[in-house]
Amino acid sequence: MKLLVVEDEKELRRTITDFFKNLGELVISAKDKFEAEDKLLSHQFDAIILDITLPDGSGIDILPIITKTQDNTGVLILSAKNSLDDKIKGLDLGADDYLTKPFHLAELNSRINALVRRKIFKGEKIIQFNEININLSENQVYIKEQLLSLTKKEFTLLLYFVNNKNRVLTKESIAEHLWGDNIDFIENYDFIYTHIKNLRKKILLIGGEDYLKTIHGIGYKYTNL
Amino acid sequence: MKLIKKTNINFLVVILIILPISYLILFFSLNYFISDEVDEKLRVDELRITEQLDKNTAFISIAPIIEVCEINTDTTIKDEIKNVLIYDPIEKEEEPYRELISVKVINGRRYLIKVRHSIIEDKDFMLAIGLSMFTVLLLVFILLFVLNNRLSQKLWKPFYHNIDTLKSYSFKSGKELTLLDSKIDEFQDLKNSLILLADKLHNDYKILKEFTENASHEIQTPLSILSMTLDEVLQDEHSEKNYKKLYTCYQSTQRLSKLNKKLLLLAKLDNNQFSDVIEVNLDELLNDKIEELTSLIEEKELAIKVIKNGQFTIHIDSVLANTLLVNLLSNAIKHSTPKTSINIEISTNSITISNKTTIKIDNSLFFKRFQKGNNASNSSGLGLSIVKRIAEISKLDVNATLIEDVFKISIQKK
Repeated sequence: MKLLVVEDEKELRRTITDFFKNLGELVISAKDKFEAEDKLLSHQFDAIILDITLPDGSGIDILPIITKTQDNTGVLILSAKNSLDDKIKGLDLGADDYLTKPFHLAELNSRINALVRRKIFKGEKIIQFNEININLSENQVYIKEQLLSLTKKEFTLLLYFVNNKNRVLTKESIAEHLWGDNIDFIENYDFIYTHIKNLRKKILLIGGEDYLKTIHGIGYKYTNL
Repeated sequence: MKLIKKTNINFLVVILIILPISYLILFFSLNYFISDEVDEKLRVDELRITEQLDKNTAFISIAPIIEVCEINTDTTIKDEIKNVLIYDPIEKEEEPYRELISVKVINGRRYLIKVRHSIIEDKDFMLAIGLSMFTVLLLVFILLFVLNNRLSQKLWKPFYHNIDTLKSYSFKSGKELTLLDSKIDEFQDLKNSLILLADKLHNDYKILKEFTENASHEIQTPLSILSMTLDEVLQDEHSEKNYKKLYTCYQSTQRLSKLNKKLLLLAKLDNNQFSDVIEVNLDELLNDKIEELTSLIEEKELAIKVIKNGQFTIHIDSVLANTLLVNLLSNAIKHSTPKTSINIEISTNSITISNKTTIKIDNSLFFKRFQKGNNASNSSGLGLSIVKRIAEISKLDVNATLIEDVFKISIQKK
């Protein structure tokens, strides 16, 4: 996957770039509108992470150039302003998703994955992790050809784990992924434990391997090791 | 006291002081001039009688107006003018007269001449002056009073209008302050100063509002860097001790970003940046939210009892409707005593949520910003202030009470 990260803040740009590079993706970064336009003219990207506030203009203004230069790409807008106007305008001009700062890298990864799957690999709707097959068009999970019946929340949870395998996922980031803005007013995340416990139980029940590791009381990691 | 009333009272007091003084002046001066005139007339009468006696010695007296009699040479009578009382057979009482007495020698005979002229009784005179003065002044007073009030009403109209405008004016409305012009310099001065003041305050208010929003935005970026870097550091292996420390930092960052998000929301509410108003069925939305938060409810082993007496539909921004309900529910869940129940009552114009709690807080502090239910928790203390602001914007009333251990909050249509 080839990614373009347009972000003026150096540290953010570096962290996002490193994160995706570690996942084995090809990442090119741009620090402003000018550089982004330059990169867009010479490369074809699968996905673009676009910050709205750039030193030489708004990221929104880049959207028409993306449409002109890129054949098929997913665009995710990053914004510090949780403003509905920006969101609507961005989505109108061809952006596919919108994420407000600050965000979790795992969340960004999940969104980019979903976006690329939707836009680029239109046919491929199955994600595989060892013996686990997640069918996205059916919203079903199969373990060794056997159907694993999950609730909506458990399905989202498993998908989040598989998308961010080998990574420590904090309780905060899991809760935010599953409940979104609804947990803005909740400060205690222990309730996610029930969902994780149930998911684990269901997988073990039909003979699946338990890849979920608890990490020092801060979160979980989905890993082979 | 109104200015016009004060003026009128002062006016009345002045009249009450001037009235007796002018009355006395009038009385004495009139009295003096009238008696002077009477005296003069009496002398003229005396002169005419003397001339008549010169031609004709037999003179008929008409008492009490004219009395003429011959007297002896040896009786001494002094010439004088004085006031006397003479009985009036018609009025049947003594009436005052001015009397001139003089002794004249005509053709060798000596005559005593008495000429009298009736004068007005002092009592009557005083009454007449008093009455007429009182009537005139009363008329003047009434006329001025009416005129003054009428004029005031007209002149003060812009003033009162402007006062009313100021009373209902709010910077939150975003409208400019418009006041009426007046022809009175003082009022015009006041108006101009008020507009100037309002402009200044409006500007300050705007700067303050923008500051909150800008500050919140500016905080987002460093917070993102902090949160992401910590997230990355947590991926590596550390000692148990360091893990705990790092996670504490991470949690604080998360808390900070939530707090910032809420502040930003409040700033946006103050700036009226929510205008996607649609008709929302709040009880349906409430059901969705209860379902969303089921995990939290189960975690605390709470029961939710919904009594539905009608549909609660209002016109509200969709994002705000969501925030409002999530906030109310989260608040109830957060502060409920475990293993109790949350009661929700829905009618066509109100939603009431009540729950048992161990928190003690003064009733007046519920909606105060940064007022926390329990200080130990890491809650922001902004939840109910946000509820209040959303309600204000969406034309809803919010009431909260804490009676013994039952916290009850209700939203009502205005």
